[in-house]
Amino acid sequence: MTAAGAAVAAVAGPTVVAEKCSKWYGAVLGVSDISWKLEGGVVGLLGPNGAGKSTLIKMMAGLLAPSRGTLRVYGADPFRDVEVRARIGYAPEHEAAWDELTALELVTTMARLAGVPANRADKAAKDALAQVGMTASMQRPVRGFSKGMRQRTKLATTIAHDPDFLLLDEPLTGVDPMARIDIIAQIEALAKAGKTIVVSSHVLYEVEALTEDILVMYRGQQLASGNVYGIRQLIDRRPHTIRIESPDPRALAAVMAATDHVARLIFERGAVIIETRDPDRCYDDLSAAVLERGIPISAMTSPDNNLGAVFEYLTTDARGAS
Amino acid sequence: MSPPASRTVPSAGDAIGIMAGLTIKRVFRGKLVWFVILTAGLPSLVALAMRSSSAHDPVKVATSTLSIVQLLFAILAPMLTGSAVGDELGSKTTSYLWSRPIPRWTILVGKLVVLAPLTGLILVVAWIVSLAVGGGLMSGQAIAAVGFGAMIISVVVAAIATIGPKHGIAFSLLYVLVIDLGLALMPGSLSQLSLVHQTTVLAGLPQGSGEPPLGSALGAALWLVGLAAIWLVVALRQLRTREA
Repeated sequence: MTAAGAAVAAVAGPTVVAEKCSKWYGAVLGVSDISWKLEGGVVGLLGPNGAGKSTLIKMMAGLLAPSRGTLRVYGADPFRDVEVRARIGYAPEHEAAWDELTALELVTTMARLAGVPANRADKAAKDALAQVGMTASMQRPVRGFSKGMRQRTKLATTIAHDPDFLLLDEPLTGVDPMARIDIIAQIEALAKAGKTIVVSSHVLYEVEALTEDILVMYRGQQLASGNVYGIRQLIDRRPHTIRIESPDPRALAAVMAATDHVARLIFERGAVIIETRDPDRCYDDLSAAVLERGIPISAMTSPDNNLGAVFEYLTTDARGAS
Repeated sequence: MSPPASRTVPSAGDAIGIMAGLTIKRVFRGKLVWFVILTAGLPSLVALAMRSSSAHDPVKVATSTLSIVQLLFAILAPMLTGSAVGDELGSKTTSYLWSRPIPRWTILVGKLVVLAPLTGLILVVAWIVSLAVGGGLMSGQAIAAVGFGAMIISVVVAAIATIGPKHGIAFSLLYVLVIDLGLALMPGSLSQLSLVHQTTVLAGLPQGSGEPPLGSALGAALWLVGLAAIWLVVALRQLRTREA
């Protein structure tokens, strides 16, 4: 154990090594028998909701202990070895924060708890907030923040102590198109700075925007790992669904209906659901609708039905073959 | 990839200080503390009524208002400390704290160093004001006992909230209002296990005219410290293995 307040020696080697790692929540299986080595770079954790992505990320962040097998981060057990967590930046899936605090207070507190000395914490927090485009709002209480602002602030709490290893659990879920573009740019910048990053998502196109290297999970199991191209081909055969919340969904629908890639539009109260055959173009057109036509969008989510269906198909096929 | 840099981790003292600062901000920017302070004015109203009665007895004012202050222990300590600890450990924000390079016990201690003295201070001030209003017997030992007892009850409810954080306020209210006050009414040695009973003993007030205090103040202080220590050990064990 390193004495508290002392420097933690950096250890060379793989960032993560999981060996036959499993996690149960009582009788419910979270993650089953994962063996995986992460050397560095950006890796996308892909799988539908309930696949075990968040469980694996929480084990890497030191929030959960494996029920069986081992999981090491920089050679240490993150659940028991406090010190290794100084090298980890974890952004949970939820947006819950201490709403009574301002963004600057929140990020400063988190930076100090991660080991940034008091005399440097304020500057580190301001730099992190500037990096995610939150300088103008940093003195405002988190209570009044939109989902996108909360995601940005959360990213600032993750990077303020300059960690080597970032764990970002669904960082793009529900954010508006502008925040989405900014957050992707931030993650790319962090990757260029040499950080090891794990990003989870149930939307292939989000992961694909960040990396080609993926670990595919389904029902707690590691289905595949490697290049994103193979799974992309399977998913492209199915329409991709995007749900967009907007005060003016009809104006948005009118713009999107004029494109040739939209297969179907479904209206809900304060939202429109778009089924598209070309998700990349669809996301580009949505950004253009916001930027050029000024149509407001408050949240954007992609249900995982399409990915789930592909994984069902893959696993059924695998079971049939065996 | 650039080589990983060395990192520092906060010392336990730093972590406690940061958690204490966070707790102060959260408590004083919330509404609950103001409700607690307002409720703590209740003994003064009773004291005022007693002062206007024909048979004014300073000892009776002191013992009666002490009983009300002790009832407030049982309600306000769970509301303030139990809810603050339970909210912190039972909500999603735990994931921020658990992922930081700090020992988990510093989170509980950081909250307690603020909440226990704050609860004690509110109740001590409430009792002093009620004694002044009602013309009650002011005893330094009794006032210290109220402050100490309130702090010990805060520690116990914080420990209970650590064990069951999602229902922290309910569990701690149940324990203090039902179990502890129930034990206080039990005859013989069972009442020794009651925090409220031991606070009454520690206060050292005569029980009516001519009657001696209930027992040894030192013994009561040791009982209070011992009971708090047992609960703290259970809570810290729970914290060490808890997952977020």
